[in-house]
Amino acid sequence: MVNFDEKKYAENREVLVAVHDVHRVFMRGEEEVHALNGITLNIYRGEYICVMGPSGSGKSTFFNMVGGLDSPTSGRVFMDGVDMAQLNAEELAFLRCRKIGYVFQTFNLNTVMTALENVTLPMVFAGVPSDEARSRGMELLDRVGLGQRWNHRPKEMSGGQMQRVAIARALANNPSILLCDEPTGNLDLKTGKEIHWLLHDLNKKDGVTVICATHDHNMLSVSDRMVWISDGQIERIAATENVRIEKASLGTEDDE
Amino acid sequence: MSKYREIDVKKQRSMTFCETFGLCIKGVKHRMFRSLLTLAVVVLAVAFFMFLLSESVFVKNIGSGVSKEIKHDRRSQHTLTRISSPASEMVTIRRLSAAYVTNDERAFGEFSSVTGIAKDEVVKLASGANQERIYADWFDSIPSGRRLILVHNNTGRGAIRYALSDRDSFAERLAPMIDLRIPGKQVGLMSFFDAYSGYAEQLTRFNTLWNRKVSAACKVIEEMKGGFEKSDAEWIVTRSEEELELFRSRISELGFAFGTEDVKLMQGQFREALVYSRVYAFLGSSSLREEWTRVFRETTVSPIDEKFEKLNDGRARSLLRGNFTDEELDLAYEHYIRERRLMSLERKLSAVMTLDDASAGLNGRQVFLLVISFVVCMVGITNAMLMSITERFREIATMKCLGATDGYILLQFMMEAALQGFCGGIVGVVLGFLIAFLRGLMSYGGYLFKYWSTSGVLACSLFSLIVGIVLAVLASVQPSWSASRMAPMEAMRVE
Repeated sequence: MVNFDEKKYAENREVLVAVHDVHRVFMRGEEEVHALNGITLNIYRGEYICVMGPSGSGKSTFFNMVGGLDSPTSGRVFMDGVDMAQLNAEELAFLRCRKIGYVFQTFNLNTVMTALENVTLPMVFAGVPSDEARSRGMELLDRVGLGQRWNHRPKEMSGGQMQRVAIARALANNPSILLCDEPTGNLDLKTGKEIHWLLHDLNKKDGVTVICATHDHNMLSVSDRMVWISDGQIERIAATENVRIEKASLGTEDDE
Repeated sequence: MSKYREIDVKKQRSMTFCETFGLCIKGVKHRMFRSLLTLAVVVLAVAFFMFLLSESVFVKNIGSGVSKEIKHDRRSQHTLTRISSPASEMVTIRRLSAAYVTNDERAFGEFSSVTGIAKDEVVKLASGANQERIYADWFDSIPSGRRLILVHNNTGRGAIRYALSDRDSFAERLAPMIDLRIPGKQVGLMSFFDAYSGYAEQLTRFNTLWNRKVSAACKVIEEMKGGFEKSDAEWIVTRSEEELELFRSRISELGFAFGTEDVKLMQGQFREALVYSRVYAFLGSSSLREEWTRVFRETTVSPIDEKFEKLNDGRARSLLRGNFTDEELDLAYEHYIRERRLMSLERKLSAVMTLDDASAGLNGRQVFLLVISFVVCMVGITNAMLMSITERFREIATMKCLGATDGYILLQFMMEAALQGFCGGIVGVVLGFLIAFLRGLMSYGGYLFKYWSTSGVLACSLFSLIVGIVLAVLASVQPSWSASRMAPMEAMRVE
């Protein structure tokens, strides 16, 4: 944590997700696999975090913890002050529905539903009346630039468009945090960039908190902070402005 | 959306059932024709079930109708036989048993008034006669080898009434039969023995008293016929109304149930039968043969049945007009056609059911086939559902990420199955009904409509449909459960 002063960074910011000394142990046959080895991290409201790490580093497990999809073997995860390990299945479903928006690498749209139906699905789960859900769905589709295509099914859309719909869907219930797992992994460079800027826009203009796992260097430039995970531990945290210098020194070409 | 909004988890309203249902329908609507396998399995099972059920309804309705028609056609003959010929003990037993099975008040009244035995006594006697009849029928139905063993052991059908006086020794003789697992009506018979000690004497007494009245009736007929040479039937046909009324009242005085309409019916039916037999005899006579072959240019002499078929032909009419009136020929022709149809129907129906058995339903073999088909159907649906759940792991996990609860996923898959059961069921019902209908039409022709029961078919359809839905839902319990338990992090998986 060379380039990062947490205290200074935390000034005037509110902790949204607090991950405190989280361990996660899987049993693979007789063998114990330590996917997470004591991770502690605060995520502040309104920031954009990039999580990086090679595959098998525990990045996905970390995401599952933050997203309330899995509970830690030991340690605690607080979401808006609620300890997620204490929740039962139903409460977790409530939390996933209203507090967390998911964006997947494979988009995971419901193929038999139209774009609008996909976007309104989480609102149906949340019990939003259908008229309200529809108008809000249209608003969201407009926001991601697909207002004209509300009646198209995923089959009739390109990868970038599908990911936009997925982002609109993730935002449906005004989540506290947007979890993006390699959102550009299945996209070409150009559409990937468009998705970055969409996320960046949402973060800066609409104040959505974004946490994003990526290998994509383009993603780094739009984020506020970067977290490197390796062997189930946080290797390094850095504010983006500091990293840029580093990147230059590493000789990566990055012309955003 | 521009501003972050705090949402209190607990205060939000959740999905109503209607919304859940609507969402499920929306999902299923598009997927219905992808799971054709499940649908096909349901369709086949329901069609099979519907086919068996509606066919049994057809058979039941037509069977009871036809047996009623046959009974009606033979009624006058039976009446005359009852009045004028002495009954053997077996005949008495059958009559009593038939009255007991159908709980025929009129018949009991007649038995009582003819023999002078009190009515409740007669009913009691009839219940005994029914037991004996059941044993006798069973005895007649078993293979001859087993029958021989029973006869050898002196436990055959004839031995029953003699055994009444010594029930214990009969039971002793019957015991080895039970040990040999010769199935029978022994238990019922034993309780009959225990319940009714004076049965044999009572039956003999009944029979004697009855036959005494029969001979009195015979005397009446003899006396009234006077010098009339021909048969009783012909005598009745030629009587005037007053003479018939006299005949009726004299027979009724003896205690027989013999009303005005009985006599009228008797005259009509006998007339028809007589005309028929006269035409029949004439068609078979040698005097007609030559002319017939000449007119119809036949090389061989055709059987009488074939000649009857041509009775409505103008050429045949002209040949017969000298001997019979047109009206008589029409009567004979109609009689022939009706008789032949009823006989062929009875033959067909008795292959499927016992005509007198009103409770005819599915037989053992059909039930076995049904159970097998249901099991196959369940396995098929379960398999198809499991496959579809494996394919849709990502969709299910995503739904869970978006806030679907386990209960919702379970409900959705169960509802999907129920809807598939419903749609497949409707197709199956139509298919099964069509097959049964066409088969019925081929076997029974117009009688299918004559004894048509829309309510019966509707009940079958409804029942089959419900069976289809229940099958589909039952078969989907396990797959739906495993779908609802799927971990939401599966959605993150990348292949």
